[in-house]
Amino acid sequence: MAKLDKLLQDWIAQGFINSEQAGKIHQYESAKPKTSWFLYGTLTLGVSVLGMGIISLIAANWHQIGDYAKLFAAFSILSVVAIFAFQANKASKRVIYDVLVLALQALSLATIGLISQIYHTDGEPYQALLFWTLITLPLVITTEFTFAPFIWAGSFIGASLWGLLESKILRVPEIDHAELLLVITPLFTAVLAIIARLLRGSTGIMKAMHIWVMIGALIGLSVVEFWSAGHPRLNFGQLGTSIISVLSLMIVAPVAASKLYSNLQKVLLTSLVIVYIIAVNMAATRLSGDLLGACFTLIELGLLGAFYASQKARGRFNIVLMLMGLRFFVLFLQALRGLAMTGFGLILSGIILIALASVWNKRRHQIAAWMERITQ
Amino acid sequence: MNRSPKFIIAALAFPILALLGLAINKATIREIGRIVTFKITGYDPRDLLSGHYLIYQIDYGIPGLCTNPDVQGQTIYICPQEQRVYGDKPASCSYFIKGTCQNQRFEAGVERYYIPQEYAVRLDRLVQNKQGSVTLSVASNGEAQVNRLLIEGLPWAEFIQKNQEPPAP
Repeated sequence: MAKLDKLLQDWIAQGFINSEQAGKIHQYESAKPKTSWFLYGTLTLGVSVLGMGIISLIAANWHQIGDYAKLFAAFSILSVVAIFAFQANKASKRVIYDVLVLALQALSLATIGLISQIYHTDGEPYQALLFWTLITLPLVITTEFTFAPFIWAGSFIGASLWGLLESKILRVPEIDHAELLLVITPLFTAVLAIIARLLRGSTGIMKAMHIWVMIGALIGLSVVEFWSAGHPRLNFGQLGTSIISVLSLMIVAPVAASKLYSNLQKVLLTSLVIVYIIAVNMAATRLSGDLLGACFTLIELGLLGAFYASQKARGRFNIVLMLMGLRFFVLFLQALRGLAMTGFGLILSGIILIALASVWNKRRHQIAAWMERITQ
Repeated sequence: MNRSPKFIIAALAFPILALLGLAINKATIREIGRIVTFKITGYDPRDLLSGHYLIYQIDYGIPGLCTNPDVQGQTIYICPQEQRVYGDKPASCSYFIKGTCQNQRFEAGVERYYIPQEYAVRLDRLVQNKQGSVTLSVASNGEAQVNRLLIEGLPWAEFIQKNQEPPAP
């Protein structure tokens, strides 16, 4: 409220509003239900620890207790938590509702474990995780905060990629399976984020997807750089190339057709995909070296930063800028082999970046208009 | 985002009903299936979600089962009584088990048995010594489910109780 008071005082001083209006605005804002990040964070941590405890307890296998008694206890707890969550939603207690949803997610996973234990099911962990993500998706859609969707999205991405690795489709001996999965991780997370955006996912899901896209991008770029630095040649085969192409198309085509993205954003996203495919192919065919690999990373981060800037996503933009700065530093250490030369190189790069930022600041409207024109 | 009371009720009820359906499906196969017993051999890994378990190979008494490279990855039906393998559900067999050939092994989703941590080492040793067998519940469509782990013909808990090991010196 201190920030609002300061703003109100400023607006009164500027003559935009009078004291009576300021009082009404203050009264209206004070009456809004407050969301405590401290309460949400602490409760989330508590529920997560509790969930892990329940899973460990189930894993201990209490064979003296009858199977039906264990199942009855599990379903009773699930039902009670669901009823409490419904009541919390009815009373508009968003923090409590989201925390109870998280508890329900943890208990659902624990119950899958319990059913596996009682009936000795012989499935892989990724199958259990995929089943869990499927049955908890409607729950996640109803949440407002980021943690439950973040865990859900991470589990879905991990389980899907693991499932793909285990699937018959990829059981071709001449393909580097793990490497292929790492390469497609950023494309896969981007496809999911785009689907969530097109389906107008909740704030929590969108924020969670943004975090996973960034994690996916870092994994993909790191792997491509690692190979560019001369590690054993990659082999994706025809099948790997097809998977990369399909995923790329699944990013570019819906974005191009959607009105949710501006022309500038469409150009930036398409460029991101194209540069990534070029970087992957050059690393795979060993045409790229460590410096070229670093250049690809910087171009990709630059495009990603520009995309976030176009979305006015300040937090994500700043993270990308920080990563670019870090990569620049490492690049000069790699290229110039010495602190003195690195220092000169960084000073030069800093001057270039400041000049670019100044030009952008002065001419951004003309540049944006030009981009809109050429993409129409 | 849709937050109507009906949607919230559906979202909260869906995982519970799905899990209930899963449990009922498993319980039905266990309760109504035909009970058969096979010898096993195996080893003991650990599942973070559900605890310790034994993984074993079941001896169905069919020589050369799944050794043919042509059947790898394919769904087959075995008839232990006739010691024969079928590509489709066999009409002549009184009971049959559905599974796939993976890495030259027949897998029917019954190759795992969860055990308490404190007995894991001992049970593993007993199974390695070929003293173990499992009873399966086999449904009429060939789907099978593990029912009990037996050691020398006794339920494992009973065997452990009757054969207490002296405490380590």
